[in-house]
Amino acid sequence: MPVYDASYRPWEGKAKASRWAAVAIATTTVRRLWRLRSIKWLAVFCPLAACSISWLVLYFSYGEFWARVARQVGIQDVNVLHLINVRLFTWVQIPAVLLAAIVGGPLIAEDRRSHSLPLYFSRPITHLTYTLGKFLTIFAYLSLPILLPSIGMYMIDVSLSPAQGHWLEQFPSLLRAMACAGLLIAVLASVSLGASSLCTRNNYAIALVFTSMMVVWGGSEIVADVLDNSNAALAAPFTALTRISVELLDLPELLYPDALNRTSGMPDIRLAWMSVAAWTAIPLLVLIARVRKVEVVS
Amino acid sequence: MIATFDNVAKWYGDVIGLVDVTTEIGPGVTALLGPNGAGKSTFLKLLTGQLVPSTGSVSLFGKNPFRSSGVYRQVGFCPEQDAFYEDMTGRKFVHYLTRLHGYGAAEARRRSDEAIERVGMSENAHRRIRTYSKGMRQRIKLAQAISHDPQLVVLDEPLNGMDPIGRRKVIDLVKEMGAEGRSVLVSSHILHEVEAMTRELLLLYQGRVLAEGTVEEIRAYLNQYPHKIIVRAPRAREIAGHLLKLDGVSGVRIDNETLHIEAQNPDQLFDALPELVLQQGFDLDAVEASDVSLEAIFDYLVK
Repeated sequence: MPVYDASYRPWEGKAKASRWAAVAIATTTVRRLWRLRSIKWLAVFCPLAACSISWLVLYFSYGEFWARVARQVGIQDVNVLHLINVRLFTWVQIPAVLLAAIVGGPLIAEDRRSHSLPLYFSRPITHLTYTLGKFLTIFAYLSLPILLPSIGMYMIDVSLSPAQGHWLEQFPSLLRAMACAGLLIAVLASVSLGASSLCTRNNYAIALVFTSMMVVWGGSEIVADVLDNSNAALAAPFTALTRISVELLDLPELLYPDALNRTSGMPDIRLAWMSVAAWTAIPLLVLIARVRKVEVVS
Repeated sequence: MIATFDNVAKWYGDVIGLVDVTTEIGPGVTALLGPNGAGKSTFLKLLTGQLVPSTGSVSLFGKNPFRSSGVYRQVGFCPEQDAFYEDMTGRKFVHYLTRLHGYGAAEARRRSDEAIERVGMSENAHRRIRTYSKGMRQRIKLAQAISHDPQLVVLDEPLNGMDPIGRRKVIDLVKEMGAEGRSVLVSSHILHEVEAMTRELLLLYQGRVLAEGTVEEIRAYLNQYPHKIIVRAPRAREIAGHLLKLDGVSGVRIDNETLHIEAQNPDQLFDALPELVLQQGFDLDAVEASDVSLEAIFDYLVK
């Protein structure tokens, strides 16, 4: 019988998966990606630009400018914050897709290419934890251009308003804006992670995310024009998200000018929700199937 | 037992990975030995839950490794392939992977620093992995496998690409971990490396377990092959005449002052040699068994 060194004691705790591993994955990946100049530029410039423009508009023509815009489209009683947020979500879509593609595209593709998956899955983490960690990473980056400006604008609005209790009055608006931002982030994160799980090269994943979103967007608009049916445009997630945003922010009239050329009028809100749900769920299912693939082929 | 394989088979389509493998892995260092394509990596992937057996079952600490991610708290895995984030430093890489075991940042840092020191990479841990040599990469991979103090350490070809000093360090580390009471499963196709680490073997060939046990035990099973013994002596021809009279000796070949003896029963020969020396006054320069090496046994087994 060998005489064993008494200094080693086997681990005797419960054999459970680590709960905080997703946070560790996210924080480390966020830090790693922050070294990339393109990500820094997009993540920092987008919210700064959005916040700066919004602040200038709010500061120099508080209420008046947006009220005028609202009157032009036939809205009499307008919530400035709602109007700005709807516009923000429209402006930020293209840079956000770019950011989602650059950040999210390589997240799983890189692990597949570098054979890192066995290193993850020979640790006490589940496939769900791994996926959640990657999701949190992309959420953190997309929050900068999408979620942060909404919060920033709420704070600017509150600080500029002379009315007492304005912050409480506008709080539901903040929640609605955050809901819209959350939907946009969820769709972008799902699409980019789903595409990433299909590729083993970072550039392919980035290209797949960006082109799939853009092609569907452009294609659905063309189809909607040809068919003269606004609902066809809802195949694109951004159109659906815009439709949901104007609904959540009580500004459905805002879409009329865009839909004037189509006699079918306003796109159906239920179809918009279905489109967003599909754009979130299908890539997620692809992602889970690829990551949970019975055999970690490396 | 730490791990058990019960009638495990694994196919990749029509290609056989493993066939009908039944074995147990206990404490100490066990070498998983076999030529390229023998099924070593398949064996390790099944053990670490990266593959599901086509038939049979694998048990790791009493649980199915594919279904219970919690068991990996007690497992350290060092894959054969380079699996790195090249832009990270060695220290951050080990720290990151240690954190995935549920440790806080400070505790993970302490453990990863200890592991890095143990594999002799402290001086180079601050460098980015992309600047590492093959040997350094192997050692950092080893550090991430042991940083959480696992009970089972699985090392897939850990000595590939290492320089002799690094090789020596890793061999010593493996032996040390085995002596501490951990289970260390080391796969290799290089026999002398395996011999330097352990005598406990699991030999795979074409997806089957060819033999398991110590080198000596496996050799003892191979009685159909006469044991080869080399005797070096000045009066080789005279000694040969005496040896051929022994029942257990089936043949002797003389090469100058060297006798190549084939014996069915080597113990009888080893008993008789001292008597011959004493009675006949022979001088013997050397007596050695030439086929208890791993290489010789492996050759017998795959014939």
